[in-house]
Amino acid sequence: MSHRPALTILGVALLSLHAAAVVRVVTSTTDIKSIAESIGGDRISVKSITTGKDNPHFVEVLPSYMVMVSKAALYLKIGLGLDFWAGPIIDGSRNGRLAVADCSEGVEVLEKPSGPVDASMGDIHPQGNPHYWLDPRNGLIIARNIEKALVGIDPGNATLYEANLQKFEGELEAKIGTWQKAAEALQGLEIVTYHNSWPYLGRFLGIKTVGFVEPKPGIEPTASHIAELIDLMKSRGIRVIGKEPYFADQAPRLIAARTGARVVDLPPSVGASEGASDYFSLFDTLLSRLSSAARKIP
Amino acid sequence: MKVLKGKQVVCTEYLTLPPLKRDFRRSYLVVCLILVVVSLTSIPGRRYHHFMMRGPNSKPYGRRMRAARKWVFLLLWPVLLVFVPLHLGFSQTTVNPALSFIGDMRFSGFLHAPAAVGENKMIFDFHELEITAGASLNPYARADVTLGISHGGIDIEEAYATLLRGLPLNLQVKAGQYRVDFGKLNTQHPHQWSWVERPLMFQRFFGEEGLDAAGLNISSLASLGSCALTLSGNVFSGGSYWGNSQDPKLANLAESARASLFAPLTDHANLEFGFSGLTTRLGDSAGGRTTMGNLDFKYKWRPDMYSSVVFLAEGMIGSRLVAGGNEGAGGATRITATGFFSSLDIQFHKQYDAGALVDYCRDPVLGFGRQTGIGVFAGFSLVEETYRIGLLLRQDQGPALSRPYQTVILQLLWSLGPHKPHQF
Repeated sequence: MSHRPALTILGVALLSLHAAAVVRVVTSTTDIKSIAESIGGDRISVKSITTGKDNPHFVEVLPSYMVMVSKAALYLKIGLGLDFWAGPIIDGSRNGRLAVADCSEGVEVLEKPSGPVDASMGDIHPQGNPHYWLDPRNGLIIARNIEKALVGIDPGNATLYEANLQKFEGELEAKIGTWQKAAEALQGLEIVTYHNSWPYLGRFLGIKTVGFVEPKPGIEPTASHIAELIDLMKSRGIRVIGKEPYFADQAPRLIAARTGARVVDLPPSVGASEGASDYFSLFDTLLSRLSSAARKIP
Repeated sequence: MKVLKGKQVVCTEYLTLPPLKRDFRRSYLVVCLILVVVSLTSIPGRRYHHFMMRGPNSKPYGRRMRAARKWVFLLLWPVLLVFVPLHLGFSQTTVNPALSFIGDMRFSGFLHAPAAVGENKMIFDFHELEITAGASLNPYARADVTLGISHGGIDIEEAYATLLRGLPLNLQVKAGQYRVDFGKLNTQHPHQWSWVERPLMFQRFFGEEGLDAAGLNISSLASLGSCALTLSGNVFSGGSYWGNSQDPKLANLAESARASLFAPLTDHANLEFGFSGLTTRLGDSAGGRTTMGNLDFKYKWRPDMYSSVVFLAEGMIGSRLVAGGNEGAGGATRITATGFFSSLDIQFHKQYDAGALVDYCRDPVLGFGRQTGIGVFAGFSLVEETYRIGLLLRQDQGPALSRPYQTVILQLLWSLGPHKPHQF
């Protein structure tokens, strides 16, 4: 009895299984995850360590994250020192086949300290401000970095990734134009934010951040700093306080009550608040909330 | 764009250094080494250098030569002091390990305490300075060192290398001096605890520093659904574990194993169960084996970055034969010791936390008998873990103590160095 038909069926089944196997990707944040999903399409499955509602500066290293990374083929980092916690997770995963790509490669980094940096300056990032994904033009760079990383580990699907990248670039460039047009009304708007997460968004929208609720990055607000900030806001007529949802609203509300300003929850990442479900809707939400707050300025 | 695949995963900083900078670093290193050798051979008035450098039968140097060597020595060391930091400066962002210094200063007060504890004294005590260093050795391995400096001298708390990746079955291998993963708390350093002091059972079973020993650890990580299962085995000697010698030359080999299951319950709540066992052949005349078991449990709920609840409980049991008595061969008696520790730590503000503890140990061998401690603690962290003030109020009692005694410890912890991610 010949086994040839059975072997052929088995071979075809194995080949189809291999063809159907998706590339497992883990990202540090939901923003990178959202872009990676656009580039990889159904060829990849992506999981993010943070949920968008977490402060990405402080992530506890959990064994479940290590297990997640142990099964992955690619880890996509934010870089610039923000996800320093990714190192122990990657080491703990024991994954010798893992490729690690830093999505900040090629980004024009803002606020890079020129002199020595120490802890007296607060939680400052020696490599520059790491919140670069909040300029959608950097989203294009992130997408290209992800595409290169995917092609590197899965060259068989290079054509698909390239096509998806072009589609993503086209869509994002179109949206960038729309957002810039919508942001014309915001040009020159001065705001105060809780943490220094917004220089990239400010550059994109033409908004100027003139003060922070934190006296220094990562340092809790003090009474004297709040008093100074209130004076500054009154003297410059600032009426918008932007706050990431994971920070306490006690100090911003106190400042708002003394200055007549509005506290606006600004999602710094995909999934941080309702409506910001992917990289595109993140900017839709940010623009809508800022525009709404600006319109209500008397 | 840098995609670091497989073996290039870890050494990102070093690999991306421009060649010119690497050459600079190499030349600095060479110059430093030459300076060290030259200056050492010019130390004035040291006879062994005559022997080492010129042979045992050589004539002593003349007056001029001695003066010249003195000047060479005096001039070279300042140059070295400049060159070495320059070299370090170049390599700070390249291959130098991440260095941290953790200071632990205490003001302790004891009331009705036995003499061994501190009687009725109040003392300022710079308890310990802990120096930690760690970095990748190559794309596959890293090394970590922790030195503890206290009144007792310098102690190598940990110094080990870990083979991180590239092994089958998700294995990792660690070798050196390290804190053995017998239970959850033993692997941690005291500055990680809000309750300031090491639980009684670890002090009694393993000595003041807990169980740190020289040995080999092999561990594996596996997934069970959304849970993470870690299996770990150790072979070690030394350390001061129950019924064996602290001196590695006198101690018998011990074997231990731990299985822990980590379960993420929600995005904000996690728990972990662990079971550990340890066995060793006794070093004393009674013969037989010491066996120990440990159960640990940790639950953490952290709904936001300003608040958390951490509950942990750990229990231990040990059994060994001791010389004397009528039971068993050779007149040895099997005795059993037990211990339990539990704490609840509530962070109610980004900077404040408070909690309570229960600490129990019964050890009929070492003359401590039964001791029970209860306490409350509170902490204020100025900016994360960089500067923390902790307070512990505790009462201990037991049949071996003439009366209950009270302890008050005010602790100042400071941490100098790069941030380290928190481990569960």
